[in-house]
Amino acid sequence: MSVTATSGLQAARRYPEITGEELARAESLVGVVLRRPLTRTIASTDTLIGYARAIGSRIPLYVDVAQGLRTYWGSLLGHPTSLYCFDDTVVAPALPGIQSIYAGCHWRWEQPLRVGTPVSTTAVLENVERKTGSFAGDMVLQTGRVEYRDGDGRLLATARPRVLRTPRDAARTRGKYLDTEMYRYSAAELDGIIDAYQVEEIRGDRPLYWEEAQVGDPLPALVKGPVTTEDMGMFVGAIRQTLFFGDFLDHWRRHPADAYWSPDTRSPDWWDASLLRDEVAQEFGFPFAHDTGSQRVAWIENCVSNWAGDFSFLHDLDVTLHRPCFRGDTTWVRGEVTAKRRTGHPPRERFELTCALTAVNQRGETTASGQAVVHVVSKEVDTIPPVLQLPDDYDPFRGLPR
Amino acid sequence: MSSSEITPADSTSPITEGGIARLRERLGAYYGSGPHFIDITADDIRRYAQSNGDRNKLYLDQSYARHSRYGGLIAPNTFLDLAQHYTATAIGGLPGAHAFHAGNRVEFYLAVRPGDRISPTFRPYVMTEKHGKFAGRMILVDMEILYRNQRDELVGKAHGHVLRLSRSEARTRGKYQAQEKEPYDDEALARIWAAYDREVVRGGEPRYWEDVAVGDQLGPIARGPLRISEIAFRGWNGGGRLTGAGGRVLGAHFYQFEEYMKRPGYAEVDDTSGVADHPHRGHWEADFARKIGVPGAYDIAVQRTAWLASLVTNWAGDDGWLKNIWDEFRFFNVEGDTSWLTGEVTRKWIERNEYLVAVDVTCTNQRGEVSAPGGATVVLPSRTGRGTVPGVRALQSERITTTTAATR
Repeated sequence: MSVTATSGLQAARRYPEITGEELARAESLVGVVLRRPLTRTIASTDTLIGYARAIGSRIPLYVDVAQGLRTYWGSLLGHPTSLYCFDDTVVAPALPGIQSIYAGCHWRWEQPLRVGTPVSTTAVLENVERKTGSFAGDMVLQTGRVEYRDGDGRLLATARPRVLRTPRDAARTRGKYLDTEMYRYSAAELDGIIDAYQVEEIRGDRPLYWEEAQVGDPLPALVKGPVTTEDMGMFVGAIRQTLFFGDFLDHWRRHPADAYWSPDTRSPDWWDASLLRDEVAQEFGFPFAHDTGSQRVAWIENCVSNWAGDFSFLHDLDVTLHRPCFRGDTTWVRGEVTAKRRTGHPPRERFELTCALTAVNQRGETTASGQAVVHVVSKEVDTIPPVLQLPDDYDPFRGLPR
Repeated sequence: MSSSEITPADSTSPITEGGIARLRERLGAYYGSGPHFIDITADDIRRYAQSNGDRNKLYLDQSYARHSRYGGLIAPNTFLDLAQHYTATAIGGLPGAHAFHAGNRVEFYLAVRPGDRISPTFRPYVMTEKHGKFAGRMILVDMEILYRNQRDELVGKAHGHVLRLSRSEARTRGKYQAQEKEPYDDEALARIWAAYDREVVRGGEPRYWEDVAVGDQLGPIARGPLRISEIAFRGWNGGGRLTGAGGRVLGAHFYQFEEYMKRPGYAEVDDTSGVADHPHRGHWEADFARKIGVPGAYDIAVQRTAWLASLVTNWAGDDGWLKNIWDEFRFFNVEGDTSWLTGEVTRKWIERNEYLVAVDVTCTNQRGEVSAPGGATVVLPSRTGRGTVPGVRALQSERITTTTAATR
């Protein structure tokens, strides 16, 4: 055995700092196709519905097989962000022992994800950048690129995730968030949240027409929360491949810094436990169990999808996460149409609506913001939903090939 | 609708005469399939096997499995617990009473394969009143769960025993209050790691019935020290109506509230935030576990059944068939505990053209407590070439000449 329990413990009490050597190693990995944990390979009904429910989505196209069949698409679809199930986009190679915090993601979708589609992924690191901030002082921002392809090798989507690497000791001693208190909800506040769930607006199969959308239109607000460890566990279970027992042992022997040493049992645990357990999160400067970050990207996408309906196609979503979302927090996602644009020529003409989006928690802090570009249908020109990849010989009179 | 409906102020014991009577009325009635898989994929099977620490390539590697007697990938037999948890508690009655899994017996008839669709049907069939140190008056409900596939074939049958009890009563009595987490020393950890390294999966090498003797030992294999991520992120695969219990997830946020609204008294409010939260979060929140009388974040009991099944299938090899397994959950298996799984052959016999072996299996924790005693029956191939090994559909009703070994 190469690593003894004791050496693991000693390492755990003094977490590594960012060194020039490790930074150089991270930089040397730019452009290299990375080996990724195998999560899923097929967009099965259960994967797609399970994901949709795990983000609390109630859009029939994504949660109901029978409803999906009745839509234009002819099948249940996956939420655009359900591609997280095939790669969680945490592209953060090198710098062992430095915490990875999801800082945002720029998604660009090319095709909808139909049920039954085999999905393969490739991930590369695109950029490594030094940053400084109030959370942990010297930090490193890693930008990656994950491509998702279907069984025929066609591009489904590209994700450009940004992952912040924060030294644990620095973050803990600075304690930016550590004096945050668990929010105590009044009965009226809780009732307000429950009411918001009751009145959640879902457009569904009523098309959102280009002609009817105006700059300044608000998107119906969406509430998620108060998040519990149950909610977070469900999301993590959906998107990650946790390593169990012998597989975990093999992993931490190869990567000793990936183990969190529990002070109670003096045995190694997985850092993902911070999503459920406050003590683990406190090791790297978060007061409470927190979300994965990607979960909020998914909520923001859910807000856009609620508003855009089945006939629109979410093409682009860029979300930046500003603050963590803790256990017990409630997030309101709001948005507004900021631009209308017609591009291209028939039959590939696109009707684009751009929206600005924010996620605000119950303390009034903006925890995330972003921008989405949605392709919608037009009343005058064509009612074909804007699937991006029309074949070159596309003939509008024959319609789309099935 | 308001938050006060979720948790009625009445904090009396949920084990009431009225509740018991309501539950009794439901005895014998069949309940339709709750959460279940619509279509099982190789991904689901691989993730399930991995979540149990099972490294048999029969469940993980299609190209390996093609050369087995199944001709392709199959799921571990206990995969059924994802399709429907063996206790199937969602039959109502006794709202607000906590449900603890007390034991189960599961029989397996057919291998589950990718592309299968499993629909469970279940019914409560016996109710017994119990008294115990843990929570005083408790109601033991016995459930029968039938698992059918898309061809309406019965692939398995489970009998689950579930204890319904008062959370506040368990909290007050504090049977396990004194139990503390004990840190491991290097030697203890090294022994556990060595057990993982030594774990043998027999796989394609048949274990013949004739070569087995009463008294033969299985294992030991180790599962631990148990981490909360191994509990909470199990399956969904690990989802189920309960996160961690398997099958499809019920859903987050809105879906949780919807569930709490439907089942008043079901949610337990978090002390600090005042927010309604799931009562089974004791599986990963140690503080909440202590509030319901459990000494720490505790496993999903079916995990132990699955580990015991791995112990048996590791030993029997791919040419054998785990016919049934039973176990009782006597102690909580909490975070940080290490389960040592062992077995011993107790009996050999031939019945209905099957060459059978009975095995006693035991799950013992690092404190030396037998947290789950149990047993299993295995069908093994015979050197005589006679006998049938179930699990493969086409061969179910035929008398086979087992040629698997000869052709290999």
